Amino acid sequence: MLKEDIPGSFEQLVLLAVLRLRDQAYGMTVRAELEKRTGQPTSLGAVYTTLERLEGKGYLSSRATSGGAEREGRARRFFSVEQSGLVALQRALDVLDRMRADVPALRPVAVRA
Amino acid sequence: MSAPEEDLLAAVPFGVLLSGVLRVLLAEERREEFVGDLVEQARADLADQPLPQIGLWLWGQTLHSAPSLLVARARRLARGATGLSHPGARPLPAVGSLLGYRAETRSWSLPMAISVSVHALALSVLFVATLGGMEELQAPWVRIGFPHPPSAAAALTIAPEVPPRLEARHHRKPRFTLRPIASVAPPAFAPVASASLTEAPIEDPEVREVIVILPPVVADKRCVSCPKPTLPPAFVRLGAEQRIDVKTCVGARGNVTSVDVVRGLGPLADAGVVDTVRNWRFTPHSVGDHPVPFCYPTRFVFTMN
Repeated sequence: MLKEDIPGSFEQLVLLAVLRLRDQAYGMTVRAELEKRTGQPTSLGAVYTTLERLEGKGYLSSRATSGGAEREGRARRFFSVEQSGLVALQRALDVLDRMRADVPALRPVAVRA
Repeated sequence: MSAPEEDLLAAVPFGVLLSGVLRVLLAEERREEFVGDLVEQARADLADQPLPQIGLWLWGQTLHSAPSLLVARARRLARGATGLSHPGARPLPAVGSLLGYRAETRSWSLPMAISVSVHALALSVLFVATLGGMEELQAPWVRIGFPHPPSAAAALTIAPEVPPRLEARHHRKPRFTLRPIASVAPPAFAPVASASLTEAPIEDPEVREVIVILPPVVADKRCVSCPKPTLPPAFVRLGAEQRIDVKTCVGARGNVTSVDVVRGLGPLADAGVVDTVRNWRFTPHSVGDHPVPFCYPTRFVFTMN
């Protein structure tokens, strides 16, 4: 039986950030979304390596576009979450829910919309 | 913003050096996107800052990203992959795959894993055996051997004058002269003396013995009467030490059963030492409740004093 992959915590955050950004998810915006939501400073390099790793797993897909004047013409790569990424993210969140359920020291699991 | 619109990276202080650092950290297909993100954010957030301030920010962002980028690039190089711009590129075999690891399924190939395990086990056994072979090179050393299981050892009957057969266990040629074992009948066509250098088999169930080799410091403490030997006057040289090494074997009753010269000075000097040591008396050495014969190396150093 093959072991099912469960994305790590930072991978989960990046997947969620890409989902939240919809069609505006690329390195800089993903990093900004992470810093905004987590309140923690995040290096652009960590975001890039995680995006690359998730793309290697097939959880993300990307498309490169030419950049505008604000980027001095440098390319920009947009990311979007694939179905396998959604499944893996859902699996990870379910595991987290099951693990934290009925733990008195933690607040009850919030109902996800 | 004071930065020129054409190339922010080249305009900041040490921008060329920064470009070199980024070239090390990132593959070409990723570098352009990474730098583009940095420049875009710098133009958006630091528009009113002077160039040195922007340069400082760019350096900070780059160095902050360096560890993860370096690790990612090293992994990519180790995998032999060419990067995401070539998704169909086939990675070169890595060490893990040579050992049977299948990265795509995160599992191990069973035949390969068994093969690797068996080879690792064989290497471990060989290593331990090699260490065992080096045992006699260590000094001081203590070796206790039981030819029979401990349960059978309780019924041992120890012949008091059976000389120890230490070297019979060694694979190498014994250093000391062996004597024929009383309970092993020599071949009818061979004289007893011819067995002196033969590695006698020890599988004979009739031969029951406990073999003990003691370090000199332990054996010396068991010595009850051990007068020091002397050299003939002709051997005493001014300013030079003379050394004789012997192997002394002591019976279960504490009497010396054999004295073999390992390194001597000549028949005359050696004979005097052997005659002296042969009269030494020891407190019997016991293993459990049974007194057992033992051997130990003895070194005599003769000086002017």
